[in-house]
Amino acid sequence: MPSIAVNTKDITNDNYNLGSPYDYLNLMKPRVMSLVVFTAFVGYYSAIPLVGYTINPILSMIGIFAIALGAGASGVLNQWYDSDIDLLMDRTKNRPIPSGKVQPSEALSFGIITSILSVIILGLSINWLAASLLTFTIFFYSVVYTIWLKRHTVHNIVIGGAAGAFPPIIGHICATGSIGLEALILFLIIFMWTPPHFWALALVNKSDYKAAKIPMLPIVYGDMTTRKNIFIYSLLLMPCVYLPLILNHTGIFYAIVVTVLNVEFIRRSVSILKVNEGSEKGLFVYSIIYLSIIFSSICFDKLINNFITGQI
Amino acid sequence: MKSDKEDEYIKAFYENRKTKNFTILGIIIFLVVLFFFITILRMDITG
Repeated sequence: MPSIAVNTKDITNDNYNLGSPYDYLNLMKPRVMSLVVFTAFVGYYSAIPLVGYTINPILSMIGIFAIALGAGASGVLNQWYDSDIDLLMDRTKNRPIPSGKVQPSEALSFGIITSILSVIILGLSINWLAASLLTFTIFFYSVVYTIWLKRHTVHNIVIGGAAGAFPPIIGHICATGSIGLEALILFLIIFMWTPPHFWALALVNKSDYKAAKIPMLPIVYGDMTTRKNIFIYSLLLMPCVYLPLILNHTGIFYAIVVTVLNVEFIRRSVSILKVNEGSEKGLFVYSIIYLSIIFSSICFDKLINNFITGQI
Repeated sequence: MKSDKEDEYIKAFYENRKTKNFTILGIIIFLVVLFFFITILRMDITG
């Protein structure tokens, strides 16, 4: 029998739940984590030709792991603060805290500890500039976006989108030790991609956001304004994705891929503007594929270039 | 007098706590090994 006594009344209370490791993993938003790891890796990989292959690959992997941990920590702190509104939305009511699988205080401790650990690991394994930016990213997502912007302004995801755009810069710093133009372009692409992506989701889950009283664009200004803004931001995104090509960071392969993807993106945003049925969910799903392929093709283009120039 | 349901809860609670303690122990050991490796790699002993 365990030596530490536990109040039986507490144990039998349904609210007293320790949560499984799986619940804690879910708290870290694994899908968002994987996207962060991917974009950070692209930031890292695209900087390699600038510095040569001198980075210790094991330290690089530890660095990417630390970035993933930091992203997970931000997700935990976000879910801790948002547990009240998560309970009101169908999409989020089964998350570990609102469903009672993890206690809010446990989630808060977990979020703070993993945040600190991720920064220490990144600082010790790579460099402290990358660790500082990771600290700022965690702060930006959990405090500036979650606590301040999300519930108070219609511009929440426009400004808050910066949090999701920092990882490629961190990846770039991991490789070079400084912030470069390539990293800033990747930042700009994600920053401009975020509004059409989330507004499409907001159109799909409008009733959820309304129930939770989150001032998303469709709730405050209506569907048509949202559709127009999705279209405008889609147009603004197009030149941004050509910047790596214009600045000679990528080649012909990237140009072809981006052009094809852009045509489809514009077609889908026009479809949203015309209020076609299912166009909102279509753009939301397509925007994920779009970003994934754009970033993959940056890597692939580098790989082809390195192969041609004999660097590999 | 405790009911069967209470007994089940208590048993499940101790099981969960045991799992959680082992998980935390695993994480601590992992971190020790991780910091050891970071130190070795940063020392660049391989030249």
